[in-house]
Formats: sequence, structure tokens, C-alpha cells
Amino acid sequence: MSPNQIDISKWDPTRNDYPQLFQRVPCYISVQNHELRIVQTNQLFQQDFGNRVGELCHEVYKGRSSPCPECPVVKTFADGQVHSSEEMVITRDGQEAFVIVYTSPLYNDQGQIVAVMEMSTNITNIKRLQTDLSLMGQTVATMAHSIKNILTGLDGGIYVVNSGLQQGDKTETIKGWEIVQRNVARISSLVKDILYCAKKREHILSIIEPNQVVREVFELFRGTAALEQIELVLDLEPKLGLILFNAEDLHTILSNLVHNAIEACKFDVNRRDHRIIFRSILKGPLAVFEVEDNGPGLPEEWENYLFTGMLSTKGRYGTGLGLLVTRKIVNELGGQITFSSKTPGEGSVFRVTFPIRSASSSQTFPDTESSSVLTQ
Amino acid sequence: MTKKILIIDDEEDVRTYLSSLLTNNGYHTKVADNGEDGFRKLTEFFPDLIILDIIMPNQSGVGFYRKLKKSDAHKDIPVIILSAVTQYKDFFAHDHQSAPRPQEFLEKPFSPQELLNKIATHIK
Repeated sequence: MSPNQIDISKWDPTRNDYPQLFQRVPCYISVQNHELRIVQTNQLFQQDFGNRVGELCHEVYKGRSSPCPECPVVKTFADGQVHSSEEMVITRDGQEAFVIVYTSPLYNDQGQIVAVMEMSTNITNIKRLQTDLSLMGQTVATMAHSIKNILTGLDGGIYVVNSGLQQGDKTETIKGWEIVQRNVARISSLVKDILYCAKKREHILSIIEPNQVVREVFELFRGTAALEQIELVLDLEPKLGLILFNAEDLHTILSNLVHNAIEACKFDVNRRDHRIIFRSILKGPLAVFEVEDNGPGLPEEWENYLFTGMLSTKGRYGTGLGLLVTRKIVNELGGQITFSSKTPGEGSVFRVTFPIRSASSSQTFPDTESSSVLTQ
Repeated sequence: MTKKILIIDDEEDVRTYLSSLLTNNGYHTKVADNGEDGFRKLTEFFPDLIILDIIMPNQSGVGFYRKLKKSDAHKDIPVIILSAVTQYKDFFAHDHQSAPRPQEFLEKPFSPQELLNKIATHIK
């Protein structure tokens, strides 16, 4: 044992040591009264949420004006038991963090509950790992799905070739051979998509003007859209000035979404006046980008499968990995992707949302400690 | 009399394959590339059986199936679902609008003989 270490079995903490124990616990600890007002906090809490004594718990943790539903502190006040829940909170620098919360009652000399201690462990990294594993599983499932479709095509091609040969029908044989060739080409395309999906990317952040990136994507697709007689519309929020982001990632995300929107409109035979709106929105601490189309929309029964990569409606042209790749990049950047469809035949909206990081505050990216580079 | 089968699938290669397979086995076929197209062909072709994909543009197999079951003229036509989606039953299991759900499912890639056997059980 080195001179700087002590034998813990011989350590006899004095009354003065207990505040230190409270302060140094590597969890967020807050003590709250009946009003859910914070009366005491520990060091880690102060580091990530600031000195918020006197403020309401739900305001501090979530920016809510009313208590959270199923609040474990309220439950502990009611029954004196330990309760737990999983919550998403927002730290002082605007980052979302996932925490697992345990609450425990604190009694006075008369045995009455006077306060509740809330102890929260940050499980954001575990959540990210879960998401990564889930994405990996979905990628494998998507690959299997695409391979199944290609195998069906190859089976078909071989059958038609054999059928043509047996019947001495040259036209039929050529038709079958073309099916085989097309499906071999699909394998090549699938492999490229898989490699793109699996590629490690460095998300190097820099100061960018997101509206400029949206304009670039708009220009990129103008020609393709015009060929399909689809009108492209820009609806940009000028107040969304400069943010710390990765321009290439934003370009890829929007391009994938616009590409999908064009495909949706292209295959929609029910209307001719197709339109795709590119939208940027500033929503509090969030930057929001939307791609809205008035194509056929997506049936409700597909919602659960939307980001699983199994829902290519492009027949032999799609591998289904596009949305999966998009979601992967969005997740890696700490954002969220959501989808909403209007009534059938009235199109759909894909929305990506990112917390805005200002240049001064966010040289630290989620998952990294002191770098603005995130590698996944 | 030659039995008629309507094939609804958005993949041209699958439509060609099924047409060839079924024609070689004595069936008369017609193809459609989505649910809407399928319904149009249904009314003019009046098939004895339908082979239906699930994920297609414009109208999915689920949408087509719902519409089929609401049509007094066509609701009794047997349907074989042919899809690469592993959880294909879920699409219909969560659908409360069109009971009963299809009885025959076959996963792509499929065995031609298995498909022919399934067809034979419905078309004598």
C-alpha cells in the first residue's frame, strides 16, 4: 500500500466526513421538499445543472412548468417507499441526458417525511450503446431482407432462362438472363450501401450556416425534380444563423430525405402537382429541418417499420438502407428524426431536430470529453 | 377451364417469374404493380386466386386486402401473401379493419413447388 492510500477498514468517518461523502457521490443528488423545490444538491449536480437551490425540480431538470407525470418524488412523499424511473433531462449546456432515478424518504425526529432525496445516475452512454446495437441489428435485418428479394429475383431469372431453353424460346431465355444480370447488379449496389452504412465517420464540427446547406441541397435536386415535374419550395428561417455542426452530414441527411421524397412523388400516379418543401425552423434551443412532400404518404401500418430499412417501395431500385443510414447519422450527431404522415394520399413530413451548439459552449460533443470530433 | 391468377407485386422481375411459372403450370395470369392497379385488374379479370406482395407504392398489399374484403363481389377470392418481410403477419395482425386476416403466407425467396401446392389447395 502506497503512503497516499489508507486502509478503508480502519477508516472511522467523523461527522465532518459525511458532507464530503454526499458531495462526492458520482451521481446527481438533490433533496426536495413537499413543493418539489430543491433544498440541497451535490457537486456533480451543481457541475451539470448549476446552483439551482430554491428552484422547482421539474423546471431545473426538464424546463417544465408543471410536475412530471408519475413523479417518483411525489410517490415517495405519498408512501415512504423507494421509487425509480428512467427520465430524459437537459443539462445546463442544453444537452439531453438519460438518467435512472431513485428516490428515498428523509424523516424528522417525529418520523415524518420532511424531504425526499433524489439520486440520478447518468446512463446516456449506455442508451447510446443500446441505440447502436439496435441499429446494428436493424442493419443486419435489412441486409437479410434485401438479399431475400435479390434471391427471389435470381431464382426467377434462372427459372425463366431454363424455361426458355426447354421451350427453345430465345426471347424468353434472353428475358431470364436480363433478370439474372439485373439482380447481380443489385448485389453490387447492396454491398456499396452496406459499406456506406458500416463506414466509420468523423463528425468534425465547424461553424456553418445551415440555411446555406439547405440551399445547396435544393440546388442539387432542382434538375432531377424538374424532370419529374416536381416543384421544389424553400421555406427558411432567417434567424437560424450560424451553428456548430457538420455541413457534410447535414447535406447527406437532407439529400437522403429529399431523394426519398422525390421517389415517393415519382411513384404517385394519383396527382400531377407534386411539391416538396425544404424547411428550416428555430425552435428554442433546437434547429429543425423538414422535408415535406405531397406524395402518397405512408400507410399507418408501416410506421413501426419505417426506420428499420425494410420499407423500400422502389421495387428493384431500392435497398431500403437509405433511411437507416440517415437515422444513424442523426443519432450520431445527438439529434432525432421523426416522421408524420397526413391522411392517405396527402404526403408526409420527415423532421430532423438537433440541439443548437454555440461555438463557445460546445467544443464538447456528447460522448466526447474535450474534442469537437466524434467518431462512431 | 383454365384458372386465372392475378399477381400483384411491384418488382417486375418477380412478376415475370411468377407469370412464367404459373403459365407453364397451366394457369392464366395477369399482373399488376401495386394495390390500385391490382383492384382495376381485379374487376376486369375476375381471378380465381390472387398472389399479393405487401410493400408496394401507391397502395400496399394491406390496403388492397382491406378493400378486397369490403367488396361483396370479390371478398371470397383466396389470397396468398408473398413477401420478403419476415414480420408480414404483423401487418395484418394489427389490422382491425379487415378480419379475418389472410390464411396463406409464403416468404420470399420461395419454393416454386410450395407455391404451386398452395395454389392447388385453393383452385381445384
